[in-house]
Amino acid sequence: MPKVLKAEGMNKCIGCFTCMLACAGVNHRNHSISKSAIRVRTSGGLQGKFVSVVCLACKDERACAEACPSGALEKRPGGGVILKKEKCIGCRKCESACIVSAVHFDEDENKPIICKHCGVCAKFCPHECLEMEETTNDL
Amino acid sequence: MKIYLEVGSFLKRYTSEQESLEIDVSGDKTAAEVVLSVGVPEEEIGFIAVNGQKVDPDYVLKENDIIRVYPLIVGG
Amino acid sequence: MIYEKYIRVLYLDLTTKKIRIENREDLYSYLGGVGVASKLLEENLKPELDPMDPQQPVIFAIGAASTIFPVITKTVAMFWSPLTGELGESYAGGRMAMTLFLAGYDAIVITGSSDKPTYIAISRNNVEFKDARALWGLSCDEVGRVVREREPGGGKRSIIRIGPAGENLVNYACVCVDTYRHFGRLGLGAVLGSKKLKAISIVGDRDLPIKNFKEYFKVYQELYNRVTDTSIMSKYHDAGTPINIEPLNAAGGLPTKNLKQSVFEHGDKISGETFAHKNLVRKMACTGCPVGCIHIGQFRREFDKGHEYEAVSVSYDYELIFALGSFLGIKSSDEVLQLIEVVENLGLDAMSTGVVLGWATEALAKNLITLEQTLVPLAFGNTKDYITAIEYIACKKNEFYSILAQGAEKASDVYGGKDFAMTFGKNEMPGYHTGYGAVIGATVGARHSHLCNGGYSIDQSMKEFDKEKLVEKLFKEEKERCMLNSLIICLFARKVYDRETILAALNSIGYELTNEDLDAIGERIYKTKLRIKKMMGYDSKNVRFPKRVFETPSMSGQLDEKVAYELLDMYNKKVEEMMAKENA
Repeated sequence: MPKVLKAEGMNKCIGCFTCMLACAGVNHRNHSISKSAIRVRTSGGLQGKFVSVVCLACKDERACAEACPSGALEKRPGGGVILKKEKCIGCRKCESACIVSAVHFDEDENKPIICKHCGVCAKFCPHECLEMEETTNDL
Repeated sequence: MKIYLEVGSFLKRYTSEQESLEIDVSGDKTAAEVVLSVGVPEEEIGFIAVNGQKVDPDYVLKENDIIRVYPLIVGG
Repeated sequence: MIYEKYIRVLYLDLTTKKIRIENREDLYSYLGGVGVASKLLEENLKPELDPMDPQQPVIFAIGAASTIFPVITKTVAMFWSPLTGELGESYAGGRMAMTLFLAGYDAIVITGSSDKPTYIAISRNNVEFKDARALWGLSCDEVGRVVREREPGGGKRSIIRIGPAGENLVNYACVCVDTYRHFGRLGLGAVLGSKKLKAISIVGDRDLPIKNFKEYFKVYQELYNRVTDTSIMSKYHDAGTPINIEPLNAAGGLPTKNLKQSVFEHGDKISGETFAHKNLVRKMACTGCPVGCIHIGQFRREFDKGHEYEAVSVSYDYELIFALGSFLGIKSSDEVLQLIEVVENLGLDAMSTGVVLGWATEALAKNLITLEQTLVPLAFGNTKDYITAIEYIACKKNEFYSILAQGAEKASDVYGGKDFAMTFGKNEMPGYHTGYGAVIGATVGARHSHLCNGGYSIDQSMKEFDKEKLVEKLFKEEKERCMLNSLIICLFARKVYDRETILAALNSIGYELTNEDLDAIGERIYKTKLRIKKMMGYDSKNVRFPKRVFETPSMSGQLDEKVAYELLDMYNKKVEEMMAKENA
């Protein structure tokens, strides 16, 4: 069964950014958190609690894929999308289409940063804020 | 003979979450021996107090002694 | 610079508002952190001028492995301390190291001073000097909020700032880093205040491909697992450093009421457990650290009649609970948090403030100073009047508070009471009355901190007191930490980062170092610091121990002044031997 990322324990988040460093490292071979598909930020200054901004693995209707003019975002079994880089023209329409702002853009590569639901961030979270959950294949 | 051991909130992770233990001791046992015997690792022991007074680890226990073991003091 | 054989330095001149960038190959062998910062300080220092002359530099530097390995999170600041009149060296976590790293700089050198209040905004492709006139006078909290709203880059930004105390040049004014962390000691806040530099915002998001991914990530994973599996994780994350109150108190090493006592009868009311049960609402981490040792405590404050309440949150740690707690006889966790909040918003170092007030309280009781001078009746346990006194220090309310704002050493020079002015090397004491290790350690430590060489730790681990061994351990640890602070490892992880681990980590990112290299680096850095201290006029023979240290029993028993001076002598000889050796 396919798995998707769930960020249900954010009340425990200490803002260590290890998830972002791990995602950028493993998925983009990069030291910079600006390459991470998951973003953790405060809801306004460090006195506000931490929230995650990450792909919610939409099923059925995937706004980002709908907005893509070149078919570069294919539906992923279980939810979310898979980026086909060679088809992507870097127009950024997927970025604005995502209602929770979970599509980030890599300006150096001129491609969107799409969460693969690979589970690396969850593996590196020291306080179990992130988990991979099994889900049904909707395709 | 009976002695009582208090490990406190941090060290209780080594004693299955029990902060206070009642232990039966036979023969001459030192404070350190008893603390080690309940599972507290040696490197985690800061110091030991018996009946409110700090003691050397080789202090020999007496009936009804109350041992309190404290973790190492680490700063920052 | 990671993967490069140079250190990228950003030079900022506040007088001309000009910048320049240099890639310094000659600094590469100093790794980073305190190694690079001390060389830059040595180069840019003007020893012939006043310590607070606008030309004097402030150096910030990150380490050779900052952010890319767990718990390597700190930035070092080096400067001429207005408090001690010699080496200023301070460390802070928060987000600064990560943002500097991803903005593309290893070090910043700030010289000159601005004619009008300014703040600096640094990003990967821009450096700007901005108008901070309306920010002058704002609390650390308020300034943070404004800069946060004005500058882009939320989530990948660090904002360091000073409060009114720094603006008013209080010698122990601090710099707030990302709300909950600080460059606390030795008065960096005043130095920035003298330069009219209210804040620095750094946004870091540059592209930085990993070389040698397989090797690097293997080391990363191993380190991550070790940090999260070991008990250090739980100790610092659990109740945090405040758990020290109880054992220190039970062992008779908790400085209480200006060190008149080393046991606090109300210790249980301000213990780590008490804070955790009554006030703890949240835990946070510096970026890149999975431990999360930042503990946030909350208290309710009634600010007006008619059930007008607010919730106030501040970060608390052991040193603050000692300095603004037992040292002042404060009997509840709520009150300690109240004092912390005042100190935070004004931008003062919590430790120095508490120790200074301790001296003032006793001096008042002994009639060395009068109520006309203190304006409020300072007394141990009297939180309300301490709050007022702290506000008076920050604004230098009258002549007495102006002197008090210069530190306990200066205050006791002017008004007397030297025997109970608890300073080591003119820096207010840390919260450990554990034995000779703590006393000598803070005195000989390059920045007069218990963290220079962990003297208080040596007091605990030494089974039998041995003078030679103690001095040897202090000396060795002082050099070792110079090396650790060039990486810059947060010292909480020092057990995880043993030599083998450090070498594996550094070599996976392109360094080719051996154990001997690390020894040499530590010593090289220590020698540089000692040279700087000498340039600034520091004389290791010209130190005093406050007599109170020998009056109140320590955790290891009563201390003897003669023995203390003997140990000091032995340590100084070791240093002389080292300095006489051929330059490493």
